[in-house]
Amino acid sequence: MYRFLLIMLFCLSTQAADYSHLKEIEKAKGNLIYGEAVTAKDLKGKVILFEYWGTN
Amino acid sequence: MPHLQVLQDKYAKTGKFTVIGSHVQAYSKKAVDALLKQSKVNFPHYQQLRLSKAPGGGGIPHMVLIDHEGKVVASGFISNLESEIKKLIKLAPNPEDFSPMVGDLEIKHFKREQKYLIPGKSVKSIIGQLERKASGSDEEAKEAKAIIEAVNNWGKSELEAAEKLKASAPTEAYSKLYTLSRTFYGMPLVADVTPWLTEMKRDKYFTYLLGLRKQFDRLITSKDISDNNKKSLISRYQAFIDKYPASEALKSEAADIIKQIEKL
Repeated sequence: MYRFLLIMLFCLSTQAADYSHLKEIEKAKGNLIYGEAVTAKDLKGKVILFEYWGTN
Repeated sequence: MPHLQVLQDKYAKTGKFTVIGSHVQAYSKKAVDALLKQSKVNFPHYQQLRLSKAPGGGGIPHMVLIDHEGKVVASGFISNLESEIKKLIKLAPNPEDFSPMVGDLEIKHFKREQKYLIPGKSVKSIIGQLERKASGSDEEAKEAKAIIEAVNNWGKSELEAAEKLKASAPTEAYSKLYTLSRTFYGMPLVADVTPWLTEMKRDKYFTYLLGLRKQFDRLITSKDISDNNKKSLISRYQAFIDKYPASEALKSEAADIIKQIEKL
């Protein structure tokens, strides 16, 4: 059991970074309604606070 | 919305944090612009952009906090938002640890080398080192090859962008070309760039507009953009359009920059 937990911890700690959201944001350039579009390069390595919002 | 701008103002300057908005209701330009202008926000907003890893879908507003490795750390209403952001910023790497030239390539073996791949600084010796490492077939060699390819692709895409800009924004094109000429100094990619730069600077109206661009660049990076500074720079650009017999491309760029200043 202890060995299993160690393996699990190791797997979690070596989990690869997932930058798929950066490409999604970059590709949405055509849907930009305000401000300047950002690229994956601009965002890589950054903490992102993303907010879904509405006007009503 | 103003509370997000407060966070943006406070933490974006670390280079490790940014806020992005996605409007997810029926779009009315008038209503959206009015609200965003009233809130004085300066971060980007998209229409109906839903992230696959956190698509929202419940009530709005709905926040998603994502760490520097792309992991969704919190979502919905985040009560201890600012303290979470502070914690994540401490864990995030410094911006200079990422070279824009390697894009989203994940670097394991050449993190130190990557720090020296800076646009505007010569990359010749680093590329030379990577080329020597790239001769094998192990993981390290594959990564070295991938970095060299990414750097070359970055150079080619910047060159293409500069060529496209030459007709509509000559001073922006010049600025890109100048950065490229320094970055790839002594390398074949920029063999044709230097004569191009010299040729552009022969036009005295171009040189004048280049001086105005430097003032514009200073304005957009300054902390306090006052109305007086904006008006003063707009009047200089307008005088350039009205008084000088410059080319249409230069006048068109000047007009475009006036629009950008007005939006600031």
